[in-house]
Amino acid sequence: MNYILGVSGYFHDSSVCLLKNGQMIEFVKEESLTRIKGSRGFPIRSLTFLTTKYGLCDDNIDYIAFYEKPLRGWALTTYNSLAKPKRSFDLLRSQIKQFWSGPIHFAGELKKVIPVSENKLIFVPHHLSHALTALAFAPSQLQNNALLHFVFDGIGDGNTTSIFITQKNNARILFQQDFPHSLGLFYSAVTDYCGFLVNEGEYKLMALAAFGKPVYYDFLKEHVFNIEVPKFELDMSWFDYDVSPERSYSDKWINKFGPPILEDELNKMNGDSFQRSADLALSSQLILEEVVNSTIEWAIKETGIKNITISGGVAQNSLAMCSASKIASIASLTIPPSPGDSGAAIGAANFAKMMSGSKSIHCRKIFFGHSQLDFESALFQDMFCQEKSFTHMDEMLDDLISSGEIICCYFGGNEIGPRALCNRSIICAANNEKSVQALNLEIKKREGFRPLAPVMLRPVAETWFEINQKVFDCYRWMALTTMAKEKFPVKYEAVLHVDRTARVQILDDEMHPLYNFLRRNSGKIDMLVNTSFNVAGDPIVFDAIDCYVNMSRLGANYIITDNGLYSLRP
Amino acid sequence: MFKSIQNPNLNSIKHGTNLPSRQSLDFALAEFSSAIEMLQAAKLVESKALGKGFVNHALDEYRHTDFFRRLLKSSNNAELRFDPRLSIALGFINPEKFLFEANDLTQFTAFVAINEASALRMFSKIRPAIAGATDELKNEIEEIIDDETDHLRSFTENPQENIKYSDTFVYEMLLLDEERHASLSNGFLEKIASPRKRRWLRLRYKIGNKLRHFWGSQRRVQHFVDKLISILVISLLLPFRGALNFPAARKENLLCRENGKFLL
Repeated sequence: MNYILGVSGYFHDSSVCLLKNGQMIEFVKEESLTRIKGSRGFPIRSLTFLTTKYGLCDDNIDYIAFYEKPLRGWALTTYNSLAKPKRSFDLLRSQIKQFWSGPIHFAGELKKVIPVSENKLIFVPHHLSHALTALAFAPSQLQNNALLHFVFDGIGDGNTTSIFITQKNNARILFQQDFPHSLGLFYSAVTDYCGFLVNEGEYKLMALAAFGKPVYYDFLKEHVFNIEVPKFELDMSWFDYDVSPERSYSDKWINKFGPPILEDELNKMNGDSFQRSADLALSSQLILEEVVNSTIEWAIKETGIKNITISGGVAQNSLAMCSASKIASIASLTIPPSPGDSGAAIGAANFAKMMSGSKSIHCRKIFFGHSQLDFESALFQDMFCQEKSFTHMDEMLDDLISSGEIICCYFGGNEIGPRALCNRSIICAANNEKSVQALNLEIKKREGFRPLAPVMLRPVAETWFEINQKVFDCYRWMALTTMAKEKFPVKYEAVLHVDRTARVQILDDEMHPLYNFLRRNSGKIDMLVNTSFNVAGDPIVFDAIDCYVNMSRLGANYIITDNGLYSLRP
Repeated sequence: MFKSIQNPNLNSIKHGTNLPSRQSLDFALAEFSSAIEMLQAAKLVESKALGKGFVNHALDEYRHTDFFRRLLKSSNNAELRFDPRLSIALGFINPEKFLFEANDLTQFTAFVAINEASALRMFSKIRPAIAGATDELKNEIEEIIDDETDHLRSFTENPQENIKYSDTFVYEMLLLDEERHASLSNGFLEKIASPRKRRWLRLRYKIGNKLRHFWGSQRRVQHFVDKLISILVISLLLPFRGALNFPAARKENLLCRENGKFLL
């Protein structure tokens, strides 16, 4: 019984993935255990959790694979900064600090948790980790064929965009773009300017685009971008991310687009700041889509390979992924459920597996680990009161949801990606506008410009949405948005964004209690609204205490679990 | 709140002025860090009663965090934003070892008591800054002060329930909250903890807090030292810049042991 560990950490969203006999069995995000969203240090708690649970030690571990080359990224960024030491002084200071506490010390920190021999440590090039994560989720019949992998990222090992070709156990680079010309960092700079947190608020900027007009598109294309497919260059005088760890945009940007926007100003959803942000969001979105799509078209033309995957931080932009999925020359497209750095731990483990000649991991599962609810414990019983057992809860659940109640869900393992997919979700009936509004604005306290995502069964999705069969699997984990059809029923309009798109989740697991709910209530409630089970800005719940604390903070009363329907004890 | 902010310079706050945004952020992070520590303690403690008490305490701290976050937002400072990850970066939390893991129950409860008392004093000093705030915010700060008082009271009035494992805690708490509990202090303390342990814990946390507050208030010195070291290191690195430009990644098959061997 041999294990391989894949580890990501030190920049954002640290995580650990565990393979047992070549199959993925666990995926733990550090933030789930620290309870600090986006925890980015060495994932000591996830590693300790798995080491304790599986008795991991030098004897039963084959490899531990880290998701990047620790020294390469540091050296290249420092090399760039040293070219203009005065202007880059703040970034250099931060680089020096990172040298003493960053990923260079991975091996040393790892030894404190799992003392393994040094020859078992593998350092995987960062973008290759992303690409191999995507490969793990590609259709099994295509995994051994020639595949094109696109990695659109902020930065990793000094690279910002990469294209790989894989076939069986062979991988080679087709193209790489280097720092500082980065699509991800450009989008983060606009995110920063619009008042959202970098590496956290990008999805909010994406939602904002639906309210905008592309008034800055021509300007950005003419003055900020220089696109020569597959390369593109940014005029760095508009940005500070290459010289400062504090601010991503430069004074020149402020002089052109006005003073930085405060997030609070956007919540009013009107006024100059809101419109300016929305216009910039749409203009940036269109530029980003243009670069992504033209790069994909170029590589397909260059290689003749039509089965592709997209990963890296930019692949979390579900609007851009929808646009890419429409490229006519693509035969199949895979976007993994966790395309960002957190998921790259899977790719690192996959590298360790494949380098010795084994086949790639193949994942159909999107939930890993086990329920952390101990229904028999005294503390659980003190916090929750069982209303109905699992076998007898259907009727009460149907009544509660029909009457507009908002319900928390906690089933089986955790979602591996950033999106809650009904295992750690809060749901309500999508045809109850009052409940949808309450869930969005009062309970989750989300910004009014962000819609909630609907979850439904396949026939319903195909009836009411433009479902692209080339990317069908990706709708299981909400990797891309889709447009509502014209005949979309008015009673479900609360789930649509202002541009009539939605980030649909198709539920296809026949064993899932919500799958059965939707079948039982077909024609009456065909869609549920689904949002993550957490307070905004906190990680998704992990165990019983998290459920209790989050439900108390959110003001939610009911939770459905593998053991039945519970209510919160006052 | 039992995580103390680094620079609690609240005496200069004038009546009717806003709390400086830096201090709102510090308070928000300190409250948030306290919530996280309490949550972790609730997950680790064996006693069900204590676990539930820690959970409720965490819920209060989360509510206080939200209050200071709103206060920070109302200061309209685009540069300073609440980011939970700052709680680690600024040293409020060490995720490798949470307080409850690094200390036994006695030490943990003593630490909480000492710093809850200190938080109470600090929050009282914020009152002038809240005078200029909205009625809603004013009510909230009053509620927070009530909560902090309750946290202290619950530890004092129900020692059997809350701290039956922790005699020293009561002693430390009484010492530090003299004003509120003067009548109890002398006789009670002598009964519940050995003199040596009392002295040690009191000294440890008091000196620790003083040093942290002193160093926290020396921002200019910190900045100077930081800058000086950076200039030195950068000057040493500059001649070797070329050595940092590593050749591009290999062109042949990347899926091999050789490609995963090195840090570069």
